[in-house]
Amino acid sequence: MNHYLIVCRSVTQAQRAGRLLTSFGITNQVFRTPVGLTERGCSYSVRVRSAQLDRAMSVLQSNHIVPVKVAAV
Amino acid sequence: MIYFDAAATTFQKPPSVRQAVLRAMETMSSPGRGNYQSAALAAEMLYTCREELSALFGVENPENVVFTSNATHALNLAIHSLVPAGGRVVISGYEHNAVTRPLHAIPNLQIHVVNTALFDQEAMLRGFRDLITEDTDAVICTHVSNVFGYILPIGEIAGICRQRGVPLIVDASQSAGSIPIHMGELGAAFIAMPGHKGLYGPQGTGVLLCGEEGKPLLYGGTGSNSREQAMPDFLPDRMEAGTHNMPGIAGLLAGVRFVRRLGVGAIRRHGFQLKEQLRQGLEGDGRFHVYASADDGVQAGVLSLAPRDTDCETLCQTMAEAGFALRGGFHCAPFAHQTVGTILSGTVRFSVSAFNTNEEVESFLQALRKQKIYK
Repeated sequence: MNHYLIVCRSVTQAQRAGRLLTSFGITNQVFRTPVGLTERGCSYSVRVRSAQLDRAMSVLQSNHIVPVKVAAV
Repeated sequence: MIYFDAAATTFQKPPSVRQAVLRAMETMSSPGRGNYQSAALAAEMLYTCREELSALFGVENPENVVFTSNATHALNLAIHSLVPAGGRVVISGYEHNAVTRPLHAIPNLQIHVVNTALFDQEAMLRGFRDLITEDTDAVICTHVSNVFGYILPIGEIAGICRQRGVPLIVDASQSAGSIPIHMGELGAAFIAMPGHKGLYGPQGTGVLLCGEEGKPLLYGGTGSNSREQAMPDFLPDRMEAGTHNMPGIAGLLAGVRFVRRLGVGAIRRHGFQLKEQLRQGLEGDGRFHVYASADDGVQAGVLSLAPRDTDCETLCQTMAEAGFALRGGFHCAPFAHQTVGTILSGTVRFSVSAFNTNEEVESFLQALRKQKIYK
């Protein structure tokens, strides 16, 4: 498991999270969440490397972005 | 044709707007509906537009920028969100039908109107202080009168609302892009604006800046929470059902970038200076009653005049034949005409954009001087 998916509620929140992480030098990609990871239906996720997850979550938390969930992939 | 009807729509747009509309039609599909290239490009552009609007209007979170089809749509969303049947609202005496008609449709609503003289900001503030009570559901106020260019003291009105815990809805139809307005500083519940006026986007675009979650008016697909039948409880999806107007928003993004490049302060000075040129040029011309102030703090680049000896629509028609586009009549704002005393006559409205010039105003003045105006 080299990556984690930070599951967001919407494409807009995922874009906001992705751009914020980029501005902190955290490499990421925004794409659609695999169906198995979403209970409520379609959503978008931000993928980060495992080694950067803790820092990514800290950045998101300090900017009041609350993900739906985090899953290893 | 020389165009002086920017208060309705800015007809001249930066070339980048047209190019962006075309590019969107050629390259973008639906945002938030897939990760293939055309959908990703659409989503990227949409978010960039939210970011640019946030930067221009002091919105902390781009998720709080909602796209609408025009300012009327945005105002309906805001009013629907805050004003219940049997509620109480306070509005200025300069509101557009985009505010007053949605209010009229709400059963048993108490509507209190601050009816004060044109360009008298102190009187208006006293009126709002007197009428805003703690049980007021919302204050709804235009930033600039679409008929008279009167700049209402929105910062101070917002301060009264904050003090009394009453949500404020601002109609920024005539100020967005032309006069600085800052969501964070006002602490407004909602600010509504068109994309096709001072932001130089295409018709069919509008924006609602949200300080509150709000209630949807349209229900449908959002590309999120698709297994659920309730609308999402988060912005912007909650207020944006259905596919976005991608060519329109792409053009709006180009328009917003144009405004930010010129600077809202510079655009404001330009509008005021052209309006002043017209005001001074009309001084002493007894054929018209001119509604104007030399104070740049109270009037934007919009000026109304009422011909004393002819009908305002007749004058507009005459001037259209001479090559000038102006708007006559009541400008969808009977409250403003009632307040100022022009509800029977209407007015001829002159309004400018960043593309108008001193030469155009001079040309208009010369053409107006030549007109023989009869009863």
